[in-house]
Amino acid sequence: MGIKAIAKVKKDIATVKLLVKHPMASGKIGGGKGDPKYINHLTVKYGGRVVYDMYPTSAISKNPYIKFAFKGAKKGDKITVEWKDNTGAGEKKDIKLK
Amino acid sequence: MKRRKFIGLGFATMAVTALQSVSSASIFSEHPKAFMAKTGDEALKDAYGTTDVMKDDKAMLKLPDIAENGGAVPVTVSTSLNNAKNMSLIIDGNPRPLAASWELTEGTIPKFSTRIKMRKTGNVRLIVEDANGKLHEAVKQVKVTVGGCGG
Repeated sequence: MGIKAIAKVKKDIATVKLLVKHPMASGKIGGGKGDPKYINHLTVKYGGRVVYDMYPTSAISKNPYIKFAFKGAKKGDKITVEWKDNTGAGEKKDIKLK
Repeated sequence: MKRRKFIGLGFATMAVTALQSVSSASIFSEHPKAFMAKTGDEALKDAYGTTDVMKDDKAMLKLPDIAENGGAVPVTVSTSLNNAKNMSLIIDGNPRPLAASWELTEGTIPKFSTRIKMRKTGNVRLIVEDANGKLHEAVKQVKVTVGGCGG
C-alpha cells in the first residue's frame, strides 16, 4: 500500500494525479483466485471540503491511477487523500500543492 | 481518574467518527446493492430507480476503440453539465457491470481519468445524473483482445 501523488496549481486550478498501490482483486467473481480486496471509497479533501468523491470497485485496474482537477486551489496548501477498501483497510495522506 | 477515562473515551469516539467521515451519505453509499448487480440495467435500477436515459452529448466518454490489454484500459469520463449530481461507469461485459461512481462536488471539474478492467468486447456506458434527476448516457464499444478480469 502507498499513495503517490503529483498536484500542481495553475492560476487557481489544481490538477491532481494519484497512484495508489493496491491489488484491486476481484476474487472469484472476476475469474481470479482468493478473496476480493478492492478500494470501495476514495476521497480527496481540500480546506475541509470534498473535491473528489469516488466509489471504485474491483473493475478499476490494479494500482489505481486517478486524474482530476478542482478550482479554488492555492499553491503551498495541502490536500488529503483517503481511501478505504472492502476489508476495512485504509490509508490517509497529505499532499502539498505545487 | 474518572475524568481522565472520560476524556480518553472522547478521543476514542472522535477517532471512530473520523474514520466514518469518509463514507458520508450519498446515492452510492446508500445503494451498495448496485455494485453487486449482474447486469448494467439492474445496476441502474438499484442506484437510480430507473433505466430511462437520454442519449445526448451531455455525457462524454473517452476510450480506445481496441484494448490490447483488458486489464488496464484508459478511460476519461466527463460532462458538460455544470450542476450534475453524479456519474457512473458501466461495463456491460463484466460480471459486475457497475465499475465506478463519482459524487460531484462544488469546485471540482467533472472530468476524471482512470484505468479499468474489461473482461471482453462490449459496451462501456457513462451515466450522468443532472440536477433534476434526469439521466444522460454516452456509449462506446471497445474491442478487447486479451480480457483482464482475473486477479
